[in-house]
Amino acid sequence: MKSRIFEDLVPGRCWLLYAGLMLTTAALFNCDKALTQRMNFLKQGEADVFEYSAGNAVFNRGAFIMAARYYTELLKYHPRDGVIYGNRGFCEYYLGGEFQAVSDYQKAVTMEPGLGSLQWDLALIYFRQGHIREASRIWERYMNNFPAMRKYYGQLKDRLNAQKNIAAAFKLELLLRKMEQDERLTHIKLGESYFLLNDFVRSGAITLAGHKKFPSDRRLDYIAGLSLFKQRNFRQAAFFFEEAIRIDPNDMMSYYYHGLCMDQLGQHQEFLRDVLRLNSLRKQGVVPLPFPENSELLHLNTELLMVKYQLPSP
Amino acid sequence: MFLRILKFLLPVLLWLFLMRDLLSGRVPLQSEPFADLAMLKFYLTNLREGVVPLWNPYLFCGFSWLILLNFFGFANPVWGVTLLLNIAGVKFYFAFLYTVVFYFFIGLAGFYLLARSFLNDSKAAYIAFLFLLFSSIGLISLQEYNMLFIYVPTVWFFCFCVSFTRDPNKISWLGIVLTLILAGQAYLPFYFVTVLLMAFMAAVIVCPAGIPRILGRLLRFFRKNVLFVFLTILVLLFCLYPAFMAYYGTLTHDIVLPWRHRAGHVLSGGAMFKDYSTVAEAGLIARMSPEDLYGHFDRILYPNDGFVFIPGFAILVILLGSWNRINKKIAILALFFTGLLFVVLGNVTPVHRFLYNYIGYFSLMRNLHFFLPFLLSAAALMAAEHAKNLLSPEGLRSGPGTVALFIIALVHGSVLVFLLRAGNAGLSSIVTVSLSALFWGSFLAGNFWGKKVFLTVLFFICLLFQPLDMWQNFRAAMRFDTAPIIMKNKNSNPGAMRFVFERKIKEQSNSHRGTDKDKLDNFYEDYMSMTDILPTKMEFQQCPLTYSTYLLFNSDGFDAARNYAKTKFVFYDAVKLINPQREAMALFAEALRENRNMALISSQGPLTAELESFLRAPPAHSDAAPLRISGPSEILSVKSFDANQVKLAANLDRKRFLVYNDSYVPGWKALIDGKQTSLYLANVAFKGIFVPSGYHEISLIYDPLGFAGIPFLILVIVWVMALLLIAAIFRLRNIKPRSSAI
Repeated sequence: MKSRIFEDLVPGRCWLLYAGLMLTTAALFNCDKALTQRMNFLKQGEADVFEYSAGNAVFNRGAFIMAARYYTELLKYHPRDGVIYGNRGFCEYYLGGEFQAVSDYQKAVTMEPGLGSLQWDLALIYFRQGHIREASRIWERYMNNFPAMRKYYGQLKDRLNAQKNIAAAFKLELLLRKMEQDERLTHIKLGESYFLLNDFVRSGAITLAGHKKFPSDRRLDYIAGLSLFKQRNFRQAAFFFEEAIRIDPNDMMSYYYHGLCMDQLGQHQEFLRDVLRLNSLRKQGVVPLPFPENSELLHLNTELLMVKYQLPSP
Repeated sequence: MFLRILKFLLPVLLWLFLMRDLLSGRVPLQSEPFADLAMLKFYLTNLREGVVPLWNPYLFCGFSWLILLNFFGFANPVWGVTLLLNIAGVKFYFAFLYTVVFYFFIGLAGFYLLARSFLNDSKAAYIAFLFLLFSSIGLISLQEYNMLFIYVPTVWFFCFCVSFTRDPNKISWLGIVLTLILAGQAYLPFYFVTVLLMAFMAAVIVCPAGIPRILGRLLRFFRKNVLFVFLTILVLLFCLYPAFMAYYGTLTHDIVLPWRHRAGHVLSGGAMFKDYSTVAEAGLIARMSPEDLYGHFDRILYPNDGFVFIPGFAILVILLGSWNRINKKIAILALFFTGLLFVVLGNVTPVHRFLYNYIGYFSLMRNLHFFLPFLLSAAALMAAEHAKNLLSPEGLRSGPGTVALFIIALVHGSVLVFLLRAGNAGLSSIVTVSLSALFWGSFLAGNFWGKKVFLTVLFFICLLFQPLDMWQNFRAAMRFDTAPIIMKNKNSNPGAMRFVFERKIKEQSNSHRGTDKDKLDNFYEDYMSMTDILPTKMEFQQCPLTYSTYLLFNSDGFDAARNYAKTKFVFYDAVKLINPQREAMALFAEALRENRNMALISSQGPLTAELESFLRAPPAHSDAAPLRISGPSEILSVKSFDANQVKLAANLDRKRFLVYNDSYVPGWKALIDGKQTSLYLANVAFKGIFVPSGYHEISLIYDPLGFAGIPFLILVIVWVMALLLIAAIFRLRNIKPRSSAI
């Protein structure tokens, strides 16, 4: 029996031929070159994803798939790099893999606690999934850390400038500008979150603070107005809706709520004017903006990844 | 008979159903095939007017179209289908698409016949056919036509070769010659040559004793049919003459291919890739990922330049078949597969570098993914041969049942563990492994009621389950592919060739952000529209054009050159001889700036008595501006025009030098009143001719092949041979499977 099994398995069998050919291939195969070729090929897709995240390109599924693969490959060599996890999470999210995205962002946040942009994106995914409380908690923490982070990056930039490392300093300048935008969006999203959690006082406070810093953002005025409206503070609410209308004269929802405030305050002429204006906007084909507003993940940290290994961690 | 038809009809219908979005036009083709679509549209539009275009007068101030005629194989009879469908009222886009589908199935039919001859078993051949149909070739074939243009003639060539080596006969020999013509005219014949060499080497290594026997048989046939063989070889060489001239044109710089070169190699490179890294970067290794075989198929990048997928069941069969005894067929296929793999992998093994260094034509081939159909065909044949052997009485059931069971458990268990440990295995892959285990387990089990039907049904489920999942995801992924230019041109039919005196200048769109590739798609749109246009600088750097035009439009004075070339005809009263090297650019720029009434003629051209007398004569009207012709007038009008020639009628008060701002290459000839006259390279890149005073008819004809009827003759020859090919197919059907030729 034993000899028959041996006869059946060993001599003259195809597996010997296959094993021989595979060994020859393996002996001649240069893994480093293969990896370089593959990374170069996938990297092209990553550039498109970056363009998308910067708002310069339309969504390209193929590019996102390539970029996700690229980061997966990269993670084999930098398994403790939160930025790479964050970038892969970014791609996964747009490819429809929400759970994978959350998992990646959670790892990213753990590994890079100082990088607020990762927290911001994670919070936005939670927000979209309906986990508003979790999202608001992260945004709150992000906002509290914000001054310290900005100060840190500012000092670092000055130091790099002093060292004449202009390229790295420029990247940090870009990052700082992006952070400014992040701060504005955090005020908006946090205001929205508290509003949805029926915490109108905090929602109003956050957006009012945001309004002082970024007076030209209609969304902050609108959410502040809504929070005050819910608190039945119609006069102040009307003021913020007027601000929102001043910034965007086609803001239908602000007209609507402004009209309601006027109605509550007994100013029927004003109420009628808002209704007429709304009607005329509708005829012009203006569409009311949704609330909460749709917004995109913003943080494909490509430029940070490029200078990451030159910079000390915050 | 009905069952035989049905067994092929069902998978074909299933494939068509899975591709319904693409075939119905709901989703567009990807951008890459647009090039083929655009070129074919230009070709067939001309053919309908009775002209085989050798010159494209519309783009880049005209360029030789010989090289692009061989891009898609102009003599391929399959384009007759497109023409017929289009004449019958089918929109050109769909006519083209359906033709490609038809051609794909012709290729698969060839593969089936080859498999049947090679494996000596029609069931095994059918299995191989299914494996190939539902591999990534079934997906990519409609997105990457050059791959198909190379694959179909090659597979039929092998088919005829197998038939010919067994029973040398005239029809098979004709089939071989015809497929050689088609392979030689489709893109680059070197892919075909490589596949042929690999197959030959594998056959020589495995059965060296069989080769003399076959050669003897062939020699006997050649001796008996000397005249016939000689004539067919003559026909073959004649039909490949345009392809040879196209390649020769790249050597003599009639045409340059700047996108194939990094800066500096445009002139010296010809069609070759001088820089090894350009070739090596295109290795399939970059596009290959093991995940494509088993992963979540919604995460597969479905590119048009190849990805590797073959049904998981085929891989399981090959793994199970590892315990089969080695036979010659398996050894040939395995060696062929490995040899080709070394080429396809590019620079990750030293083999490709060696071939690049020591076998000249490897520097002409960059698209290594064109070998993918051959790799997958070999894998499909291997899987089918193993399946045949495993299912035969001498297969799994021949030895002790425990050993067979152990092998099945080992293979399926290891694959399952691998998939589960990989973490990203798709459900369909896991199910396929489980179903495969059930299939082979049931096959080993004793007889039970309906066993044969059960096994047959289970076999097809195992084979199709995973590909169906992939196709479903492919359909979903395709919806993201918008390709706006293709969508825009989907319902347009070919227009008519027309001549205009002034070209349009194309502006670089600032609103359209996109990669270079997107911008090149706009270029193909210009092809489709067939209107005279001066493209953007980027397109002048990326597309085939004459070398002098390339130099002119890649100089600093790009805008000035474009503004000048806008008008097609300019009359001058004086000429000047210049060296057509670098100084020509500066002199020409100066002449344009000062609007001089003087044409610059290359000193490397013929110094005719006419030219000498014109050079000696004092320029009587040199103070006047050159006469630009912006439309038909009494002075100059166009009497007739097609892609290869233009006939003009000129009526001048004095002898003048006419510059036709259409690129100059040596294949052009000029006739005045039917008598040949000298044509000069004028104003750096264009055609110039002396026109005497009075009324004259001028003909400018492009005839690079020496006789205008050659392309038509080739078309007729290939069509006649194709009819004989059909006869050959019927003959092949009557050949009963015999013992292998080798």
